[in-house]
Amino acid sequence: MLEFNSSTPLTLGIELELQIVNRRDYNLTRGSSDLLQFINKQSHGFDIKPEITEGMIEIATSIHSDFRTMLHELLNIKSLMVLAADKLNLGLAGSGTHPFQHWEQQRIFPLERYRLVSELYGYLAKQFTVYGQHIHIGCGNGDDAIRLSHFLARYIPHFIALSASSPFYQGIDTTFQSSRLTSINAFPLSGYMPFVRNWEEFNIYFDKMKSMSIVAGMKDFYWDIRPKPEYGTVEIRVCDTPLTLETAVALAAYAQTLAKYFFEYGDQEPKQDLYLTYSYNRFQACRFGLNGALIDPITAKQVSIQTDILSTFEFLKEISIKIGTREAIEFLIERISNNDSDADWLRARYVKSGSLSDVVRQQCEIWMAPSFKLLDKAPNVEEANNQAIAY
Amino acid sequence: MDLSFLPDLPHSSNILTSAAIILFAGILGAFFITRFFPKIPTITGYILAGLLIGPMGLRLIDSAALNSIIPFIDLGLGLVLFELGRRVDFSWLCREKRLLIGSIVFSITVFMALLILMKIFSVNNAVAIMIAAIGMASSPAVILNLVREYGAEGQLSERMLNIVAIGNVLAFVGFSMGLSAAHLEYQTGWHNYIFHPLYLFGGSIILAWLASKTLIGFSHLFGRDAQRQLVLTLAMIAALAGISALFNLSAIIALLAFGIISRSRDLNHVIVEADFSQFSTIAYVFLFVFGGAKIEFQYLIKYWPFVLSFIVLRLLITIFMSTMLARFYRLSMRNSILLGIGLIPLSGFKIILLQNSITSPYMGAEWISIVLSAVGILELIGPICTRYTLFACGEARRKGGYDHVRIQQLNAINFGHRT
Repeated sequence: MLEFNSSTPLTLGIELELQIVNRRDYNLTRGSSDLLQFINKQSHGFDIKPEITEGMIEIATSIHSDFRTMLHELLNIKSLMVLAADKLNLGLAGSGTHPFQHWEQQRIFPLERYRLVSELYGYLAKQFTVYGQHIHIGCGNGDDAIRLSHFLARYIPHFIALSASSPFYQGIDTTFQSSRLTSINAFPLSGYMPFVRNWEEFNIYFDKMKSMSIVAGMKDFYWDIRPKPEYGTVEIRVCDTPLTLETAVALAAYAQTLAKYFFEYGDQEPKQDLYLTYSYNRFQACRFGLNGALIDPITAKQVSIQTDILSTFEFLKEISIKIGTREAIEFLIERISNNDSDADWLRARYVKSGSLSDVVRQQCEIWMAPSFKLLDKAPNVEEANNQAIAY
Repeated sequence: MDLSFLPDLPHSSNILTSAAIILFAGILGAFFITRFFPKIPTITGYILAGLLIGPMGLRLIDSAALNSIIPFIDLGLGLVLFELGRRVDFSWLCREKRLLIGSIVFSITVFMALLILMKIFSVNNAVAIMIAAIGMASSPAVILNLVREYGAEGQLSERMLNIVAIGNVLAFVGFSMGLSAAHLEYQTGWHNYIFHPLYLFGGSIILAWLASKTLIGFSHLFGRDAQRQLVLTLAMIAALAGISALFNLSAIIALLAFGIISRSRDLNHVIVEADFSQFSTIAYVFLFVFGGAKIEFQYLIKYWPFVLSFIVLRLLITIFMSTMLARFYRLSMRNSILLGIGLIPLSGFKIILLQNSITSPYMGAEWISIVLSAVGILELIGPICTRYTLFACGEARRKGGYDHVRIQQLNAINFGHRT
């Protein structure tokens, strides 16, 4: 039986997968081993690790209660990585896909697990060179984690649309706002978690899958949202890596606000009908982003994703003020109001420059530049921590 | 019967048939080498093919025919040097000064070591400087070709290419100083000692700067249209090679600098990184078959102690210096040794350099042949060493994507759970 390690509810952590490119034509390059070797020459205490192919690197935060402290940590990680990248003449960038890399040129990172994944999934492993953001939210127990996972399923299109930053793939405009999730759909254990009502039912399901040798652990499920028993969290995995750390942190703050609502007022009994429209809504978010249609499976009403996000933000106003995430939510509202989506930004850059290579160069400039907008109005770290502890 | 319509048998093949012979021989050589010795680089096949058909071998192509294709060689070398220049990121070298300084120290030490060797063999000053300069730099064509052929990516490959570019610039400056020293020895006036290198270096840089401004200006006008920029860049390379010859400037420095300046001065990033792969494949065949055909071994028996000393010393000093500079290059000790091994190929352009110096009376045909013997040996073993480096450091891409035999084995297994 899988044991769910309890964690403090509403604590936060994020993982970000980043692109490593050369600074000549800004294609992906075999840079993760060199970068890690350089960074690890001195003790830094950050969680920076390789990903499945060598043009990827993953950073993860420690556990936070407040998005501001998380942003501070991420900025420190970024400083360290930018310094190393500058010395090695590499570029680092966000966004869900590299716009013109070719999957067959990617190299599997020399780790046993990745070698096995590559042998099992064949070319899919190299096509998995896509870049996502994972958001972890702390849960007290497995039952809460299962119910929170079902609750968040309704909001998955929000996270896809708000983070969408992968319009280009293999050198062409896919017409999607987020093409990254299409790569993940190819895996047999992708999609959403089966409808189980509590941790016990989940364990029954898991044991069956394990007894059939389909999985060995939770890592083998590539679901959009999954409980992560070893961390004691629920993990949202649908976000593209945004172009900036601020957006990444604001998305985490939004997830925290939703979770806070769930823990305080949420419907404790999940409904299976939630999944009637799940795949349709998910597709709409990937294809059209904020302009996609979202059908509420309970009321059967159809609204645009943008409208649904804004009404959710309004609905969560009080709770976001209460837990100190309003600033991050307002940051997202401002982005939506200005039609400031990463996918549209990438397309606009391409129209202007006519070169995907130049688009990646600008992505690097954005990611590697100092980031502080969210912190401008923010209290200092100690204040932020105190505020977080207070709620 | 009147047979006057038949042509007279030519004494020598014309430029197009020479080109055809070289291309055909090159591709056959590459085919056989890669078929029977898959771990030997394709360019070794080109070089061996050249050796086989050239004056030292079957004499299918003679010196006159070889000389007729020099314009192709100039263009091919131009392409290689421009590409190498584009790989040099001047802003990175400014940030990463230890790489710049390390490369200069490396080149100068190799130069000095070879110069001492020349003095041991009582070579006169001017010739000694020229030969030491020749030994200073590694071959841009060999190393760039192998980096591309094996898709090598990583810090060792990047550093190796930068060291090669810096070494070649210094080598040419050293060589022209040697020439000037020779001027001085032959009492053509002291001012030549200063003005000749100054003219060569300064003039070539000014030419490269003008070419870069032109390329950037036209690229701005054309927009980021890859095809137009490709044609434009090729035109500029040809023009630069031609104008350098017209003004007795260094095409090598001019083309390398053209690549470096056109990258560093392109502030609005209007130049699209051109894909020369189709052209450069043909250029490499020309370059290496030509190089192979020009190899001479007739003085090897007589002067083997000198040739052997030259090769062994260069090999040892290259590996020793790159190991000593490991910290400067931010490489591990193992990778620094590999870097030294990778830098063994001696620059093929030296052959052309030597051809040019034949016109000057200073070096003498015998010395040229002796150096060509050393170049020939290093041309043959160098690419194998560089290939070894690129694979041993893990930066080369394994060819062919998936191993089909392994896939068949895997597909036959009932996986169960493997992750």
